[in-house]
Amino acid sequence: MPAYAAKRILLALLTIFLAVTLMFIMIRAIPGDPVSILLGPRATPELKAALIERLALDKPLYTQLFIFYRDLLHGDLGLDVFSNRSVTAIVFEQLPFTLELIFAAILWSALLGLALGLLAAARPNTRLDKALAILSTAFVAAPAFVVALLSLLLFSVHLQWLPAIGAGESGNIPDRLYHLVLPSFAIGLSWVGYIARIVRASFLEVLGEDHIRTARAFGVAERKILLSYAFRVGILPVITLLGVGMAFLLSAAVFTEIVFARPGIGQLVISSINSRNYPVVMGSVLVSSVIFVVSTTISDLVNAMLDPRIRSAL
Amino acid sequence: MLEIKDFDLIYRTEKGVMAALRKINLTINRGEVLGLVGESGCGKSSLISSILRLLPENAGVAGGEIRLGGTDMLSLSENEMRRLRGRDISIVFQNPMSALNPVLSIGRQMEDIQFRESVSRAEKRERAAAMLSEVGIPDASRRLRQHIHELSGGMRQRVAIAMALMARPSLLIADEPTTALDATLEVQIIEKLKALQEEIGCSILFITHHLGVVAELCDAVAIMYAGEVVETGSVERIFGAPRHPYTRRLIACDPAHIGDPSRVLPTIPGEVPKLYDLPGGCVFRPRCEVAVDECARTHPELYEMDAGHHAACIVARGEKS
Amino acid sequence: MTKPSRLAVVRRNLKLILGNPLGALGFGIVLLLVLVAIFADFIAPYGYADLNVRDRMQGPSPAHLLGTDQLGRDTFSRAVVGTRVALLVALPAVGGALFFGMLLGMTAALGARWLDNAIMLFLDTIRSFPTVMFALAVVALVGPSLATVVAVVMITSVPVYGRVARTQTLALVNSEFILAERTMQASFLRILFVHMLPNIFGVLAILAALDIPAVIALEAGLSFLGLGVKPPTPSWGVLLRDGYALIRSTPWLVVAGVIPVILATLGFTFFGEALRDVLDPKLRGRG
Repeated sequence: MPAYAAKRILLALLTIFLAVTLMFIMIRAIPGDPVSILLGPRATPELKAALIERLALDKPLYTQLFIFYRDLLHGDLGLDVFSNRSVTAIVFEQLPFTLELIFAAILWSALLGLALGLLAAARPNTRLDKALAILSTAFVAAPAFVVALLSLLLFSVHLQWLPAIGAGESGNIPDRLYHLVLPSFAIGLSWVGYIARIVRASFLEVLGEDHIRTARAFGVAERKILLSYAFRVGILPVITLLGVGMAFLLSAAVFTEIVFARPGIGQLVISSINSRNYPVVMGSVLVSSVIFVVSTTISDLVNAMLDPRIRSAL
Repeated sequence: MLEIKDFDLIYRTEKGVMAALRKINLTINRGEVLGLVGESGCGKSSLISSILRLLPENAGVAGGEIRLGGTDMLSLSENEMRRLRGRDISIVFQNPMSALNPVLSIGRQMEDIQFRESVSRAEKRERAAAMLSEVGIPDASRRLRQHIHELSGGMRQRVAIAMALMARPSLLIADEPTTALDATLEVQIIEKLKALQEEIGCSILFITHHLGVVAELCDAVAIMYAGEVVETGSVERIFGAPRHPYTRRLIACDPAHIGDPSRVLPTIPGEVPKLYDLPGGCVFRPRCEVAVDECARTHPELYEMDAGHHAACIVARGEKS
Repeated sequence: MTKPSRLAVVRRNLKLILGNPLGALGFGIVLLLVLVAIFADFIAPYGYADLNVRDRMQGPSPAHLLGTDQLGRDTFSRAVVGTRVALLVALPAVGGALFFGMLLGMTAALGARWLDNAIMLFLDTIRSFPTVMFALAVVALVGPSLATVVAVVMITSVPVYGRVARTQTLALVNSEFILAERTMQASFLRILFVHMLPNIFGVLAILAALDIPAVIALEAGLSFLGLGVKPPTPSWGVLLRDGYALIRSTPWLVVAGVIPVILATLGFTFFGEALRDVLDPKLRGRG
């Protein structure tokens, strides 16, 4: 396990390193001079000179790249164009709202998806199974922002049951939860479909495997077979999916935060694009990609903990 | 020990009801090793599942009985049946790699199957280690911590045998346990199985493709074809004086190689008939060289040829033995 | 056994897809959308940019099937023309991703070890950005336009196609019929064009069919954020953007934008899954 973990974490670091490099190339490769782009509309000659000095834009490209890495290692994502505040601070101010939303969505959708998937796997090819399959597919196909708009229209504007705007007062937990209901519903819905489908497929496959027949042939109690023998194998693809799903949820969160006017990293990116505050855009995108890489790494590590085959494959 | 009488098994499928096993009659005496031979799809697997009562949902018992030491297992409740499994009847499956749970350690699985014993976990572990040593696995306590994919093919099969014999069952079902192994390993495993069988005194139902293994290990043989038992008898009778044309073809294909354990079942021209499209009369007739008109009209039963030697063939019944 | 003609195979597969009720439904919707996109100019009762200030923000009526927007433009006409925009983004984007994915994947599989590693590392790097975040970064840098949306969708989907193409190619290289061809000294090009390309393309085409709903949703989403197709071009996302701004005055704009998006994603999903089940059941569960 330590060997596997070391390799997996090293791979994650490499991926982040490459993502950062790609980001650097993208900023430098676009037509126009990076100073004007990074400074946006307020570019005065003095500010330009200061930025050129800070990013070493008058030095060779590899020096620039080196400085870029060095700043990132110190957690320095640059400065906000307007307020001159550190981008890192701004991003981490907004991040908790997005993470709160994503975890709420994962929680309810994973539980419901798991339940529906197990239900379908327990009664394969029945009418219930077929109905659940159609439902899951429909959920999968429903784009998050469409669900967000429809639920906003129905529950907030029309029925006025749930709040339409914001994340709730800070410190007031019931109020914050209240504000989480619709947004987490919107980004979790298609996730229910994904999880239900993979749970059904995975558990049906496992239940048909020889080792389950062996356990039954030895008289092991059915409960134990399902809960420890089948579950331990069947859950593995679900964990992988949850790790990869972080990218999906981060993407969906952007739309949902806009529709429900919630603070968060998506809201931050969009408003920064609109105000041409590029350092904030790039910083947010980098942080979200790091979150994604970390979550896939964690899911792989959890899988390796549960599955000795993965550990010995490396 | 095990007595199967007029057993009928059906599957309900989209193509209609299929009679997968028809009028199966088999007896295994205490301490006897019965070899069950037949091509793929002849119903061997269905028979095993029927004995263990681990049938798929679309299967149904249409008649007959399966008795183990006098009790009809088909009339037991699911709970009573579960108590029997792993204690009175055990099984070694064909491919131990897939037959053991991939994510649980071998030790954990060997402890779990001792759920009937009211002893401590440590004690169960010790018994498991002792059993592994008994089947010839060195360094048993280390093996218990490993997972099935970490072992070699021969070791995997030894683990499977150790698990099956853990509770000293009265009947062991061995479902082609050596098919996945190479010839040398096969010999080793068969010899180990033979020694353990003599020590424990259990009966074995040995399912196989390999005629050579049957000659080596078994006391009696049953030949299956398309869901029926077509011939039964002692190893000497079946190999020395086979009566059913199907058995004869199996053996006559290459008699020089009987005894070579690597030899697999020879192929016979034609195909095993589909269960939803069985010929009337004798099921082997379309591939039979000695069939007469009568064979298309009458379905042959297992006729006694000699004491303890039966064959389901009208032509053979007419011949002098 | 004689090989059935290509047409016969297509006809048989189509029959199988239509035999599955959801597949038939999906096929019907896809066909409808394609026809609507082609004949949009004939179907739309009004020009998509025709202003009619007197009839602003109306609900559905015989004159305006889905009502009108804040400038009195006919919403139904805008949704109809939006179909064309959705497909104009989705088809080239998915097609391009398929092409480049296949190119990169096959190059990785057949090329030198270092090339393989380099390509896979590059694809993994692109994949390490959440799709929408990556799209936003690109849009922020080069500015929103129809071409940007197509390019972004293409770039973010290439890794999936590339990976599958590589796996498929590797499997094929080691498969028996390729080995047989090689021992018969068939030329590399013959092996490539006669055996490998059709096989790999088939698998990727199924993935592409399953990918289209996500692409349509992404275009609508970016346009909704004001970062996709520019007004006055009537994308479904632009309809939703207007609808969102006016959600407290009229529900009809949102409804008019949502209906085509849901129709398209459901239609392509049901069709794509039926296609996969018929052509390659092994892929089930990968989607």
